[in-house]
Amino acid sequence: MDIAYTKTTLANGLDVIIHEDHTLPIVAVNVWYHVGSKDERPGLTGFAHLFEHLMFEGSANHDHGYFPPLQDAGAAVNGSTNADRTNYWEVVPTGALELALFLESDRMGFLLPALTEKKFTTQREVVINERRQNYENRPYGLAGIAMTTALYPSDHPYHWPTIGYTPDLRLATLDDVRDFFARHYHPGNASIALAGDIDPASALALVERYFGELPTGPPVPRVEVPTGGLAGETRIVLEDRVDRPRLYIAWRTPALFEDGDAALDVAADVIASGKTSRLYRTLVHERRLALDVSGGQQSRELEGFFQLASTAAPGRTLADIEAVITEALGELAANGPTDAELERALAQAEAAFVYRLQTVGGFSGKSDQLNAYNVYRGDPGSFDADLARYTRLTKADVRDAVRRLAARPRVALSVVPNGAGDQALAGSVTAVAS
Amino acid sequence: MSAPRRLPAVGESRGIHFPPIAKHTRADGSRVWTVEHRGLPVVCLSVLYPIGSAGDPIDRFGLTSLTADLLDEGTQSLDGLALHDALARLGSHLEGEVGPDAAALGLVTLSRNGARATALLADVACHPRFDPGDFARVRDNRVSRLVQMRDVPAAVAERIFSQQIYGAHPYGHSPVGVVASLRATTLDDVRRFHDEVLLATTPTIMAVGDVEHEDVVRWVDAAWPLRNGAFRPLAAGAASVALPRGPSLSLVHRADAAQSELRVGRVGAARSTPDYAALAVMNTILGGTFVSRINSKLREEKGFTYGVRSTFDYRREAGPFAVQTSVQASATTEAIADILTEIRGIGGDRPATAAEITRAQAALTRSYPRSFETAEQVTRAVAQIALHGLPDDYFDGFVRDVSLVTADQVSDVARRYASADDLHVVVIGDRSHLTGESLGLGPLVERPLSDD
Repeated sequence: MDIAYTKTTLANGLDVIIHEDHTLPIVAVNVWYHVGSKDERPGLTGFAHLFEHLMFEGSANHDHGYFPPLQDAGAAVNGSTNADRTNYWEVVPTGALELALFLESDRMGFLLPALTEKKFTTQREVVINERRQNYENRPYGLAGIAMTTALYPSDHPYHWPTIGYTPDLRLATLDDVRDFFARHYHPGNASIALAGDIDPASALALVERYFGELPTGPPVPRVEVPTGGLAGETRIVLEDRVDRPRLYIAWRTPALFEDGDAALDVAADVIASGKTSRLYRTLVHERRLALDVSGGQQSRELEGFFQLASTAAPGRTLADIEAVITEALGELAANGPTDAELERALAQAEAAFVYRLQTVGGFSGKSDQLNAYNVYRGDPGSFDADLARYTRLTKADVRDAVRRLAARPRVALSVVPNGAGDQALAGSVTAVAS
Repeated sequence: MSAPRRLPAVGESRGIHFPPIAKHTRADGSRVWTVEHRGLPVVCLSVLYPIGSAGDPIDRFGLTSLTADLLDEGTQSLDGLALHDALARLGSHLEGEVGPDAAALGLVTLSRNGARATALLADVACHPRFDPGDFARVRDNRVSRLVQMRDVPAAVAERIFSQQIYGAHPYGHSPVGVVASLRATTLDDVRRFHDEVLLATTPTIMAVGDVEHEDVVRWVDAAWPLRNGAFRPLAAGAASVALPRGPSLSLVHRADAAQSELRVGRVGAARSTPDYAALAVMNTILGGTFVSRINSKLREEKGFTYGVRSTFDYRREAGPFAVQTSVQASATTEAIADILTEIRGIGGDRPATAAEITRAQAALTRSYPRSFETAEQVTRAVAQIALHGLPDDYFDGFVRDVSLVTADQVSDVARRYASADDLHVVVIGDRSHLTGESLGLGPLVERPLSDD
């Protein structure tokens, strides 16, 4: 099911990936910068994401806002930042491809001359409000931050949240921003994918026209990952404005595409995804200990983490839930999935690969996937290789991956109602979540 | 060769037409509609019943939604585990949705599974298991979820806002119901509702994707039971119910909240309004997009919020017009005043300019082709046609209608539908940040957090 594409690297280092699909008169433009919160330093957190906001505020040769001309053209526009990378995309009518390429190239090459103190301080306030809305003023909203803070030591690039710490954001200066841009935002650290109603040769010529003159920047060093992990099981508690206590358990796991990553995806499916999963049957359906259960392998570039979460039903405790989870995981580590469970998980994985090809753009469309494979594997055409990681899995592979997981120390986070610290797992210490 | 660094002109793009809908009416009057949408071996199958939470009995708010939720707990021949195992093997999971006007159930699968998936969908819709143990669990979990929702400011704001603008009108309660009504609901209520109300409305069974109409009809005929007796016509509307008069200002106190969740709005327009295109243009300028007047003011100029938008929700009867946002607590009063100023402006002393109207028209018409990329997107459009009796070429006509909207029409609909004199404002936040007197919305009314 590999999709046809061409890949060209410009003299300045920019990777250009082009895929034709003439179904609709639209084109997706998708730019990845290989920079995320992992590239920040303690004390200067939240930068990669704050930067994403500034990229929409205009550049030297078009300093009137990024959105208006694209909206007039009928485009959809967005961007996102995570620990590993930042992506920006437009989906435009065919006739607006050149417009999108001009705007993307201008902010890649000429952002800083247009960046003012006013833009910077306003977007910093917007980001602090994003943080309030999505983390601080939302039930269980700080759980993710509490978990990664505990899973990774303070010098690990995944220790701090992508949204950043508010005091760091407040202390950031325009000079810090300029320095961050110079190091990470240049053609040598970027990859652009075009997918849709285009002729590859003329599309490549357009990219060369707008991006070819941009100078490449300094090589970006690989992020150092400190060795050493959790000494033993860590139990933490976070009080929040919630009605029901919820338990999160997580382990550090292999990185994206490493051995064990796909097997843990399947393990999460078997144990915690949907109404067929083992924990749903036991915790929610049969014993009614929990209102919900979820889980997944979070695949990331430096390393992953595997997390299970479940909310206690009225009158039930997190200790009840913890006992069931530990037993279920032990059972899977001992005996692996059944034939039926593995078949089902693989059928779902295969269908999901097809569904992901339905859009040319956006956060998971074909252009975004081509860039993901290019940035993480150096090969945009990794669809089949990626799917094969799943289809060749055996029951023993899944069992062994869970066995290795269960042997590692874990973090158990109890999120409990304010003033109800006694509802946490025994021996929990106050979580750090700021 | 490098290019001059200036904004390139936008070239022409080829237009598209909404695909044809192949239609078949079965012996009982139920409808089978197919849209061929080729490219990938995928099909979206769904069924739409034209009854939603507005049809909930007065003492059983949440009944439609609870019934829909119970459908996937198993069928008469497959228990819950067997059903979900069968769905997962098709690479599918069921999506149920209950809104004020309609209930829908659907799934996406690989097209080679079309016959089997149609049979499962029919079984789920028509032969639910309705096991007493499942009922007790699902109902209790929904009650727990309602209690949990009290900690979600956006959910509280939606609930209070609907009550404020609709009062006793059937759109005044949320589809999920309230704790007391759910506790009072029995399995017999659900069984009766499913058989005598839900299945008694005319279903539209839709297939969009890499399929042939004749095959879809065959799959449906093989699996979908015919109704004994005629389907019921839709109940008459509740237009006679008097709506509460604005303005009003309501607060649910949330001590020390980092932000205030805001809703500002009123009852807007029905799906059948002749002003639909003009409203689309007006709302695009006012608050429908990132570059709209309200978002430019609150986010890009003042940094008060991560984002703000205004929407018209078009329903069988007039649906809500609402501005929704979450703003830093200290900016609560100023943000409300700014929103009111922008709404007053577009219908008054700062009407939409010719440039704004041209841009909004371009945005709405040029974005048309990307609205129909996936089978699910096309299905949502087809469901609109089915639910509201729109012509099959409705969406093509919308593009033409938008391009004909005039400045007078934009001002006219702003005055009539977004009039600033009778707006309802709802705040979920810390009361110390709200100075109500300055807003001219009448006395501040504090509402309890509980939904009963």
